[in-house]
Amino acid sequence: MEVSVNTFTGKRILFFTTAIYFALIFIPLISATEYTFKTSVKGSYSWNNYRWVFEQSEFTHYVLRSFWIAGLSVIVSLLILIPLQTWLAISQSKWRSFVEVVSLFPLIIPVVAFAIGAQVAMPLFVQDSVLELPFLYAMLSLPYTYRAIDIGLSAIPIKTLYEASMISGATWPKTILRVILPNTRTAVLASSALGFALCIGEFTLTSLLHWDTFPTWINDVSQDSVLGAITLSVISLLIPIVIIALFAFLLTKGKEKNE
Amino acid sequence: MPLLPFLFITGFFFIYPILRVIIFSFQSNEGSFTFSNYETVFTFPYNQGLIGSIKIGLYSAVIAAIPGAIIAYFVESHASLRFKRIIAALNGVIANTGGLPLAFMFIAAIGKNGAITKILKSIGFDIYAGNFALGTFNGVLLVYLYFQIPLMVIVFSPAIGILRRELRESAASLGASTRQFWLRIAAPLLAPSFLGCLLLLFASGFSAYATANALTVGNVLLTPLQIAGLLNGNVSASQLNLGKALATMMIVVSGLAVVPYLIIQRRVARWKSV
Amino acid sequence: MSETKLEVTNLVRRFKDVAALDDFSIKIEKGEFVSLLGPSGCGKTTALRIIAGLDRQNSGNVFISGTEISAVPANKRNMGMVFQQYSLFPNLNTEENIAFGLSVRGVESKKRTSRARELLELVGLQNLGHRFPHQLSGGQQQRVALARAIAFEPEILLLDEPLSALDAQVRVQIREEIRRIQIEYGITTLFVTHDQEEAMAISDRVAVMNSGRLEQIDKPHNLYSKPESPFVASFVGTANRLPGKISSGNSVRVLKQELSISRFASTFKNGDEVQAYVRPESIRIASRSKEKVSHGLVAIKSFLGPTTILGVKSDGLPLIHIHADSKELRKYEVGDEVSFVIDAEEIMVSPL
Repeated sequence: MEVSVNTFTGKRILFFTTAIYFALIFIPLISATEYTFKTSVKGSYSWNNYRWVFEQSEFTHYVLRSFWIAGLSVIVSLLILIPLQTWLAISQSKWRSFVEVVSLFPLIIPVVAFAIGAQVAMPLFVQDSVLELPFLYAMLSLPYTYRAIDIGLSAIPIKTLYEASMISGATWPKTILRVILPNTRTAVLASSALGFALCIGEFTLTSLLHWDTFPTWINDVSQDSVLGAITLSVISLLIPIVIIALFAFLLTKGKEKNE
Repeated sequence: MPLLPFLFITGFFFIYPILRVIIFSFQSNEGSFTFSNYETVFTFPYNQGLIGSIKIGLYSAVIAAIPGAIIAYFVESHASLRFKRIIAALNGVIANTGGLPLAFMFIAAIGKNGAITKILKSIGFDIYAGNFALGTFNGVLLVYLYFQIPLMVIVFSPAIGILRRELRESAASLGASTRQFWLRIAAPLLAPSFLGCLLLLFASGFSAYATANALTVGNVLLTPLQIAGLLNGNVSASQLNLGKALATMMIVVSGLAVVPYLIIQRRVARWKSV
Repeated sequence: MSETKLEVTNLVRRFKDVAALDDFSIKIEKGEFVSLLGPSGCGKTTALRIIAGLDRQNSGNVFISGTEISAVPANKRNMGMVFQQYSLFPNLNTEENIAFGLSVRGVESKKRTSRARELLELVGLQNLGHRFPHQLSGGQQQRVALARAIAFEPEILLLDEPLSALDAQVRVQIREEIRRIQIEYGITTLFVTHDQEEAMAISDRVAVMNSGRLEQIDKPHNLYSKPESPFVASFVGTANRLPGKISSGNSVRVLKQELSISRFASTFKNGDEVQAYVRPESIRIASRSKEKVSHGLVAIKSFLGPTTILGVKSDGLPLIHIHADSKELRKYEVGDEVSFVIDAEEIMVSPL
């Protein structure tokens, strides 16, 4: 087994398989995007569909609404998890594995089942509150948000940092604020990004509980205008992809800078 | 202790609703203990719904597992760090694509009037020649693959990390050919993770709702759709707790897949540190 | 009559612009234990990997018993290799790991098992055959790796820093076992390490490498007392570097004394300023009144058990280390005055 030759063939197969993979992912996307630019006249393209979409008064309303709810959910998650996970890490508590297991529960429960649960269990004052969704979303995203913070915290010697800071005379709130939190920035960012993305796209829970957000609005639009719904779908698919592309581009730039 | 808010909030917003669903699934409309809801679950059309959901979970998992595993293998072992990050981010986005946007994207691409459909037709492939339609079981299955494959790449990639360079090299120095290495070392090491990922993918396909909801109009029997129907539609008085029974069934099936997955994950983690 | 078992000539290996190996050659006799010693990046691991077939050289040859083997794939070279870590197969137990090389060669099951058990006993892990790698300590894992590498009686044993990941005490135990087994079986062995004490302790010869080249290959004792370059002098053992001045052809004046030079391939003129290398054990405590004696104050005292090292501060000189029997140095404490003199037949010097 010639190991060094293997890497060369390996790289070629990698290229080949990722090419196919990218094709499979992007072809439907590109074709759908192309579709949204078509007009009734064969061969001509226009921004008509997009103009229509952006002109809808509800468009901005629902985009903001989803952002708002997703944002609230992320805040709820962070408020619960950051103190909890930093405390678990620093005190090396026995509760850590228990909490980890609990954080994985939402993976086991199908969202539809959870929706029924929420429907029957949440008291009226919760059901009417605008906070119902953020809290429920925070539960759904728990496995991902917990894990993102966990990975970030494991990467820093948090117990040592804490003890070093305390020994130097800082009080514990100061330690958290000025030593711990700055070092957990990437973990918190990753967790927030994951949570936010999940909430923005969430449909099942929202529609079954009769709330309305951007995804459910797309559904409403589809009743009247399939084309409009398709356009909205393309928009909501393209945006994260564009963000990733930017991300990839920035990474390349960063690398060139370093070299 | 920051543990208390966590326990309270998770308990109230998550555990409590689930418990309520499970407990009330055993309740009749009058409030007495009964198995009748479950009896209904195992009759038509709900039993077909369960079978359909299990089938779609199984098929989408099995079909997506191999391409996903292959891509995961080559990316993990041969890609640069930068490329890996980009792929990971991309996969994260695609694996989370669901519901309407996904459905509509496919309708636009390979629906009856879709762009790809037209292109394929022009070169002789009429995909609608047979019984295929997006709004059928097979159509939904096809669309599911779009997020199942990236999901497989995401969950299987860490497992590849077990195949350290030193393992390959020791096997070589001990005289093993590439084939022997794969047969006796690599495959046995990857098998548990592969199985675990299959289970997770099954759960993912089994539980999916939004996409099926967007593509079908009630002609495909899947449990999530049926539950939604009970929640939204005209619920006849005798079926109040049926939805809960169906939901409990879903939890059981999903649990039977996800719990072994988590267990396998833990045990495989031990191998990594050797 | 010793025969050359392994010979490597003019190996060059480049990675991008860096030459990991730059015209490296070495000859190893049958049954010899040779260490490749050097700092990180000196090319020792690269050389080992090329010999093993895990890497390809850009130019140069590798001969086993006179036959060129560069075209032979790694899995056909019949060499045993022990890696630093992570090399045991996690899905096989200890016995199966050890028997792997045999099973790949088609040895039948009963023979494999008995040989594996034999080797388990050889490395002192008799009852651990059914354990899996993750259930073993680091030291135990490396013992298994060693047993596995020699199970099929390879022509050559290659070890790539096998002890670097282990605790200090375990390291000493296992290196002795490796040497003991190597002597018993007479296996030609190439051992890569950055730890000079390790290399010196168990090798027949040590090859000191630097920047992809061989600096010097010799018996440990010769490397220590007759280093042929400043690099070898400072890498192998410790040395005090003191300023000196050449006085008359073959002598150098260091610390008020006139001493003979064993030079490092350089020509010197009278009056040249040079760097003199004096081993700590070559400096003796002397009575204050004697002539040519230097004085200083003890700045640090390190008790090592049977011996002690004093770090002495003298005006205008770097810290001078004196290494002697603890009994002799017992009476000196930090802050005491001490008088000393160099007691060596020759000392090494190099240009500044």
